[in-house]
Amino acid sequence: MTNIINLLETLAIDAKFSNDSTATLTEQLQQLELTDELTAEQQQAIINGDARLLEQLLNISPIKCQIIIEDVPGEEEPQEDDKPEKEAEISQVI
Amino acid sequence: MNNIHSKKSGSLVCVGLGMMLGAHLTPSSRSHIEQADIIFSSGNSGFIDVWLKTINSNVISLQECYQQGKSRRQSYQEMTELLLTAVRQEKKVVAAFYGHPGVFVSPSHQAIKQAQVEGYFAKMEPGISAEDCLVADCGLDPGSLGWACFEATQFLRFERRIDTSAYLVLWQVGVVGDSTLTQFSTSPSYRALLVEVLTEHYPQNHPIILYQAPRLAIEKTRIDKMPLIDFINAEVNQCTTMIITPANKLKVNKIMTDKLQKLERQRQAPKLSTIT
Ligand SMILES: C[S@@+](CC[C@H](N)C(=O)[O-])C[C@H]1O[C@@H](n2cnc3c(N)ncnc32)[C@H](O)[C@@H]1O
Repeated sequence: MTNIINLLETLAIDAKFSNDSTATLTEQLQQLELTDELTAEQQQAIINGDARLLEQLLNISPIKCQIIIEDVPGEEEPQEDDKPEKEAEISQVI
Repeated sequence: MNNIHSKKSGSLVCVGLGMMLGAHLTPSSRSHIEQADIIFSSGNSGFIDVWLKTINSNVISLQECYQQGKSRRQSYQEMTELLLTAVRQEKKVVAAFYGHPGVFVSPSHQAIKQAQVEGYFAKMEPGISAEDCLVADCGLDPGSLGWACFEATQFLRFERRIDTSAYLVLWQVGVVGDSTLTQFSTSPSYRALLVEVLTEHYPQNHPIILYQAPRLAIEKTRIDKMPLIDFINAEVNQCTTMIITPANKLKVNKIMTDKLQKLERQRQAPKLSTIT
C-alpha cells in the first residue's frame, strides 16, 4: 500500500514525471523500479489511470461524497440566535 | 476573530489539500497536519486518508457523516460538531478538506466561527481549488473579461443577473437541482432545467466546457467542449465544473469613459501655480 501512495506522490511532485511529453506511465513505473512490487493488475490500473479500480484492488473504500457546501445557504428556518447573520448571508447571496 | 488572550489550549486549523494528492499541499498546511493531535479529513479520493496517515497516523474520515438519502445539511452539522467537540477536548485539531478549505465548503467556515466565539484559536490555511486548476488547465484568465461563479442549484433557484460578456463558472452541476440535499447525482431532467435558464441568455449551441481536474497523478484532465444543449445528456459527476465562455462583447460605458477622459485631461493640464 505505502509503495503505491509513494508512487502517486512521486508522480505528482517530481517535475520530471509531471510533464506529459516525457515518458508514458509504463516507462515511469519502470524508471521508478516499482514493477516488481506491484501486481500486474495494479500496474494495469495505474497505466490506465483507473483510480476506482486501483482503490478496489487495494481494498480502499471509495469516497461517498465530494460535496461539502449547502447548495442554498440560509434557506432553512434560522435559529433565533443566528437570525441576523443568516439574513445577512441571504442578502449577500441573493 | 481570534482572541489573542485566549488561554484555551484547543485549536482548529482548516487546511486545503489541493486537488491532486501530493502535489498541492503547502508547507504550512503540511506542518499543521504533522503537529495536530487529530486530523479530520474530507478528501476527493479514497487514497487521501491513506496518504494523510503517512504524515500523521491520527486521521478520522468525515465521510462517515454522509449517507445517501440523509440531508447533507445534517451531515455538515455533524462534521462541524465533530470538529468542535475535539477542540473543546483541548486538542489541536486540523480539518483537511480537498481543494481550498473555504471554497464551496460550509463546515469549515461554520466551525471556525463557532470555535472563535467560544474563545479557541481557529483559522484557515488556503489551498489550491478546482478553480485554480481550471485556470491553469484551460488557459483562462479571470481578469481578462471578468468571471462570475455560482453554485448551480442556487443559480437555478434564484434570479441572478448574468453578465454574458464575462465567463460564467457553475459549480456542483452534477447535483444541480437537488434542493433536498439528499442526492449524490441528479438526472438529465434536472440538467435540462439548468439549460432552460441558461438559454434565456445564451444560444443553445453556445460553447461550454465541462472540466475535471485530475485527483491523482495517473488521471487525465477532462476538458470537454460542447454546445450548451448537449449538457443535458453529458456525463457529469460530483466533481464536474462547467465554464460558459462569454457570448457578447464588452460594451463601452460611454458616460464613465467620458468622465475618465475628463479627469485625465485635468491631470495633464498645466497647474495654475506652474504658469509664470
Ligand atoms: C463542494 S465543492 C468543493 C470545492 C473545493 N473545496 C475546491 O476548493 O475546489 C465541490 C465542487 O467543486 C468542483 N470540483 C470538485 N472536484 C473537482 C475536480 N476534480 N475538477 C473540477 N471541479 C471540481 C465541482 O464543481 C464540485 O461539484
